[in-house]
Amino acid sequence: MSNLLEIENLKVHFPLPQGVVELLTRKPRRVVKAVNGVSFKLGQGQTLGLVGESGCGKTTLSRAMLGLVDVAGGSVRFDGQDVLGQDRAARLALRRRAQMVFQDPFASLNPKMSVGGTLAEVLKFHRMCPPREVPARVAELMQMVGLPHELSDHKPSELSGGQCQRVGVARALAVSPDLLVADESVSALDVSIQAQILNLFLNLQQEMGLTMVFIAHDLGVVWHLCQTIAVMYLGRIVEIGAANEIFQNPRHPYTRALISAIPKMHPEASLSADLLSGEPPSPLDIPGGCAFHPRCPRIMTRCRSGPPPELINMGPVQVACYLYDTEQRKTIT
Amino acid sequence: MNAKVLEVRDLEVTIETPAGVLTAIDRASFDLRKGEILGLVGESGSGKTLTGRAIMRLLPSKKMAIRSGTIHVNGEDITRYDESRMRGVRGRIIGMIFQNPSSHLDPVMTVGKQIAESIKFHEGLSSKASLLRAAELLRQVDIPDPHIRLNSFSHEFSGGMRQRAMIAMALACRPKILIADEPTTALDVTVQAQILNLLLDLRQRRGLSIMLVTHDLGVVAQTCDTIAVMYAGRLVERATKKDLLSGPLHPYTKGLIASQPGKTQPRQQLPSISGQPPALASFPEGCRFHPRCEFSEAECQAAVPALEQADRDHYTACRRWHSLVQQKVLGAA
Repeated sequence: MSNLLEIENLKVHFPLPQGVVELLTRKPRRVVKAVNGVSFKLGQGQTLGLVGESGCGKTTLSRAMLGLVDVAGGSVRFDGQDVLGQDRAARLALRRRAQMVFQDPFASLNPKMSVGGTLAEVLKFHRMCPPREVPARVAELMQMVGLPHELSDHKPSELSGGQCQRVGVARALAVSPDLLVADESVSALDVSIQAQILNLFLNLQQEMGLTMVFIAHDLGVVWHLCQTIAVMYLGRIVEIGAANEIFQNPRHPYTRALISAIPKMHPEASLSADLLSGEPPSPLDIPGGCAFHPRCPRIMTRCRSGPPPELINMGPVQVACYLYDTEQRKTIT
Repeated sequence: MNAKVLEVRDLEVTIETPAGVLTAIDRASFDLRKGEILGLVGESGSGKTLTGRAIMRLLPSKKMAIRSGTIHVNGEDITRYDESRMRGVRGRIIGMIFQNPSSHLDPVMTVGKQIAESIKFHEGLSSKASLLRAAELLRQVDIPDPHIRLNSFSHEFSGGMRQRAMIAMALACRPKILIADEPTTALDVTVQAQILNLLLDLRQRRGLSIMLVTHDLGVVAQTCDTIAVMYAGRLVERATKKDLLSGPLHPYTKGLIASQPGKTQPRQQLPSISGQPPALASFPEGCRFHPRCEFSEAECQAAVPALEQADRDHYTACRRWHSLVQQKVLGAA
């Protein structure tokens, strides 16, 4: 299986603006390290779920994948081609192959444009089909995402949240992309509508062989949809691998805590005892050593002082934690 | 069984619109007992938030009014209270917390002063004494260094800490009832679990009765004793948590539970409820769920189903529940 997406040691840093005092005192510029050395590969037709708390860099990572933010280091290769540092024409060509569906179904659509107009614009701009075939293609797209054709003349304000999200998906599909990045695309929807949109995504994966990156804070949703899951904490991947393995046998202490915090829908359910204390620190000053060490229940000396742990290969998953470091084990025994 | 602290009977809330007077909440009845946590579940537009606000008499618009029904607190009907008597109820008998703490905290007043304000108002303590009490409250909601944190502004707090501060504020005058409107929706799962734990703990320590308004069945499953499900302004089912989750007696409740990811095998189609929740102006005749219900008959479109008692503590507003249980479609598997 060939890899559609290859990300190598990707870094996205946002320098903060400096005030006059900071400039005069020549303080070093503070930098938000939103993505701080992320590497992974995504095979054709695979679905990757990106999970983590807010501020862990999952949205920034997804934007960097599509070349939508400036990158501080590393590389993003899409179907063998380097995404970063390309000219306008090449970026446009990339955009035809990689599309995004956003979180807020209303804010991501033009309020003055009808559903049909929104979809037709994409088709015309990317010259996806001869002009006279545009209306037929719009109808086809609407059918694909389960929108009744009567809605073609409706504005977003006349649609429900679920319908708007379907328009967002149809717009992304209009260019027949190979990769679809969905950033929290179901979290703003009602429970009964969320299931409909998840089913739509499943259909698209299975029928069109679409490769997807699915970002969500709801782990139940991610588990349902994705084969592979990457857990992020403060700009780094701490565990990545097969979805079943990560859910049923989480290895990294952070993944464990995250999974035990998912509300369980069982009638006898009660809150789990091993909850994480505190909240993720600001990405402005990431703790030294392993970034998770201040909240980690299984902290060791090395976690505080050593370099941030690298991902260690453990069969179905890779884990970035010193607990699983063989070197470490040797020194203990 | 504990005494009832809140009794809502046939509550009807109407909205004046150019199109006429619409009924947003249609004869909702439920009880809250001492030390009980009641989950009020529904999708957006179901009237769950409005029910909470109607009890506090904090309806978001002058065009909204309680048209009929009673709300008994400690044996007195508070719908008859005028605004000045209601001020003695809010905060002192019933406290309320909201989904978005940032927009319900004053950004230019220290957190300590905001908490102390209501203590001064309701209990007539001095500034110094009420600030001391505020620090004690912050300690009870597990905010570290409460005496220092008193002087912080809300923007210096993280999301979870803001919600803790709001809980401290709501509990400042020792109310017996807490209405929590989506208190964890804006938070990460790890922090959500911490806040839910805090609510459970407060119930234990203070004998607090909590009405938890949420769209998340998972949250309800972990915290509530009793669940009431709302759909399009009506209460459609009410039961103990265990009965409702293991043997729902309303097709809507059944659909909601089934559409949660986690019950279905990963990567299989989720059983979803077709269509979308109706808007206030176009609530269907008869049973409001009938256009989306897979078991509806001609009769369901005509008659409004009453909330009837199906079991000891189990009420459902489906006229077909009995035959559907016999067909093994509803009820315990």
